[in-house]
Amino acid sequence: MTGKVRDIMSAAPVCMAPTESVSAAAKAMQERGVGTVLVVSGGRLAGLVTDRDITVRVLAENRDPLTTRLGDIYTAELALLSPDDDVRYAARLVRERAVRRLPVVADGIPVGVVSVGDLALDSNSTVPDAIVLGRTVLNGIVPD
Amino acid sequence: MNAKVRDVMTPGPIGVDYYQSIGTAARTMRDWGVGAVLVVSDQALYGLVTDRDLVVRAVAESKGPDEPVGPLSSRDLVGVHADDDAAVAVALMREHAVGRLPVLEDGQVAGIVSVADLDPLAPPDEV
Repeated sequence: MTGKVRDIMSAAPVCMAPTESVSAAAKAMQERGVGTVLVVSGGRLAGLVTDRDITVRVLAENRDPLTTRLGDIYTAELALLSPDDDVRYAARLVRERAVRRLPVVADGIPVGVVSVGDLALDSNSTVPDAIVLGRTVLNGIVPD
Repeated sequence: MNAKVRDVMTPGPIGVDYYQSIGTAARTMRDWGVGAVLVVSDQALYGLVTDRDLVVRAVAESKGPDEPVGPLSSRDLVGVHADDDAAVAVALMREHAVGRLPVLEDGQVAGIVSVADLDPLAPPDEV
């Protein structure tokens, strides 16, 4: 795995104010096909909220997504990447910090997000047909 | 690295019933520290639901936490064998654009392997 963070990051990150609702963030995640919303205050990156955060900090806690604000649940302690960072550095941060998404910042401005999926799936290979199991194989199995 | 799927999967998959609530599914994911649970209906595997599914299929659609979780499930599941190389799981995830695969062993679901379980530092051709 080689290359720079700029080559694998998702650019044009979704940015929202801390006063926006969790419900609005969920809709943005759905419409934009992302799992992370960067929380930006006064032009600066304040933190981020992931789909997982919404599940654990809102749904599991019975909080109302319409009235809960991103500012109430966002993660502020962030490890940051630069677009020029090596992909290996990003992978090391993901492992060491046990995080799945890292904001990419250039000159103080959020320019992207790197997710663990971008790292693990950053390669090309083919899948032999024989190992693909469809629903006919899986349906009907009774889990322990 | 020639890790097998069984070496990297999360064993003992957690299940919820189709009619259990979205809130219960969220608390199950929180309490067990997992991002996906199997959905069971009539004692058979119905599908799989992830933390992301709860957000984009429930919160984004203004569904409340008391509604049943079953309808949020993904049903066309792609599985992988516990004895397969981890590289096979990577390839399947890429091919089908999914982040998690149920892991089969002896005709049962033995675990779930997530994209986050796979080693991001391993060279692609040796994952």
